[in-house]
Amino acid sequence: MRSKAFSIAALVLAAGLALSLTDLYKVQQGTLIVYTTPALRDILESLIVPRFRNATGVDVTLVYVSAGEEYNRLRMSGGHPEADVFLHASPLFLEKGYQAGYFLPFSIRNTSVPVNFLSRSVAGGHLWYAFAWSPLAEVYKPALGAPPDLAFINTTFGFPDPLLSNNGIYAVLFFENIDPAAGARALAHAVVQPANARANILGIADGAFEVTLGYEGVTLFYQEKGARVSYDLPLLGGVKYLTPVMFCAGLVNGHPNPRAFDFIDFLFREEIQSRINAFYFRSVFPWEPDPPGGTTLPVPGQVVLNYDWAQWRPLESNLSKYVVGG
Amino acid sequence: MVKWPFRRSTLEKTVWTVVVWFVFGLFVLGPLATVVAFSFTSSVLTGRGTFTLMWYGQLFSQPGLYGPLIRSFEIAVIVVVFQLIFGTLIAYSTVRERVLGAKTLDTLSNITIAVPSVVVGLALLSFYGPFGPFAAMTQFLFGNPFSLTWTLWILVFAHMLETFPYMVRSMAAVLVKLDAHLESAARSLGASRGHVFLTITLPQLKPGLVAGSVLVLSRSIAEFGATIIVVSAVLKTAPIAIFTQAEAGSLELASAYSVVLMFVSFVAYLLMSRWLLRGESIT
Repeated sequence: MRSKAFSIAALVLAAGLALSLTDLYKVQQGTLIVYTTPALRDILESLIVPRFRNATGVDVTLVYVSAGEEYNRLRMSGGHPEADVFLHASPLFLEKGYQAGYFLPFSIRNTSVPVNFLSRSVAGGHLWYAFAWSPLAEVYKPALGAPPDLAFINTTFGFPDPLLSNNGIYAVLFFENIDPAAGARALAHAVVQPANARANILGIADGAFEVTLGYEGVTLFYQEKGARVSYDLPLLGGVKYLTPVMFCAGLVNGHPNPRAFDFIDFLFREEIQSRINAFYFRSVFPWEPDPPGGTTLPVPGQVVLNYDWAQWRPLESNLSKYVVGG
Repeated sequence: MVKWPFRRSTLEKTVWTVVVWFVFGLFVLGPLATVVAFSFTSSVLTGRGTFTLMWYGQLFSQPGLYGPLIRSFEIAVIVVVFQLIFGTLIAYSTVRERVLGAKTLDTLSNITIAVPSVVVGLALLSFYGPFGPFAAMTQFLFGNPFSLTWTLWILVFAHMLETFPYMVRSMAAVLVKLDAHLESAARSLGASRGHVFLTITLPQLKPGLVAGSVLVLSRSIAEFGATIIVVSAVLKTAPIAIFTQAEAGSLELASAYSVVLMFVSFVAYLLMSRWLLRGESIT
């Protein structure tokens, strides 16, 4: 009796081992891995990935961590990355990573992407293409009534982590390019450093802080979910600024899945670009509609801020100054 | 000395009951009950959520969501099988002092309880990663650096290290009580070592094997600290999924995952109390 029970237990365990190993190996093969940001979660899961899967039959695994962490995962891979595509909210890591050999240049088939939404040309194509964008927004607690002028901010501030989050990178570049003293003032009022753009807006919603710089698309998403947050273009010294936050795709050097380029190319199809606004982001093609409830652009008197991302070293040099306690 | 007037009285018992249950509720039951409640709430964020089973519906209908639960069980099964062999071998070697330095090995087998799990993950990533000694060794031996970074095996190793003491301790507890004379008697009657192990030793090890397996299974399913350092994107386990869902603001879905894991842990606990705490009943 005892030996029979042992035999059955041993058989069950052996079968479990064989099934588990087989399934886990199957899962590891044939899945396209995209390193991306929580800000793009809905558009990827509800629009892009299902349509890409239907069109190609390729499974896609989305990894949502901050850009800095994912960049470091590429560095740790030592030439054997798990990721195929890097899809994040600024070109800084792509420019930096290209120089370190982590990304490959490429050219998509759609040639109508405006020049301000793609990188400089290099041998083999471009380093990155932006497939969507969203204005940088001053997000605030509705009880404040209106967006406070960031030059004189006197409320608690959520300064997104500039070393981990692209949201933080845009916030630092905003202050450093217009008024570093206002940046220092915002940092002095910072109580939390959210690690990604969604956590940043949630900080306003749950009352952790009263003002932050976030993305219009993420703010609209949470407003639709019922979060009590308001936003406008950032106001500093009486001027409103429009900073396009660009959601860029890069091709990982040594990507294990051969369909990586197809995924990036797919982002620029009409079936994707015409529906981007439904997820509160803006298409890179000017003829596509704006997101519902989004700011009507241009705003009178707005000043547009664009950065030369090829000069990533000077852009990056000020980031660490904006780490609380750093 | 003034004597406390309500000593051993009903009032004292009532006060103590209220205090103890309040503290227990505040620190244990309250947080866990909140997670359960969130998992049945349509939207936590708005504070006006209604009762819903939507999150469980999503969890069990979308492969991307239920995948991590399956991964957790699959990895735990692999770890249990390996621990049954490896843990038993180490416990047998140390208790029976079949190796030099048995006492040291016994002490070291508990080391991963003391070391933070995130350090265990980092140690594995350092050793088996592309810049560590393992890659250098394979480069030297085979001319090609081999790295286990982002593979299934580094994840299994992490779970084995984290669960190793539980199997060794469970087995050792049974082994010390085992009557070695029975094995000697069988050997003196001409039985081979293998035959003695299968027919005399192994049946007596059953309580340790069961208890160790249940502990390893539940610890592996719940493992987070080492996993988050070494896990690849496609092998994401349930605790990692909870973390990423919470990070992304999906508290409701993270709660649904948590409730499923709590249920599994509770079942494991029931198995333990059935077989481990009343160990004699299974011999």
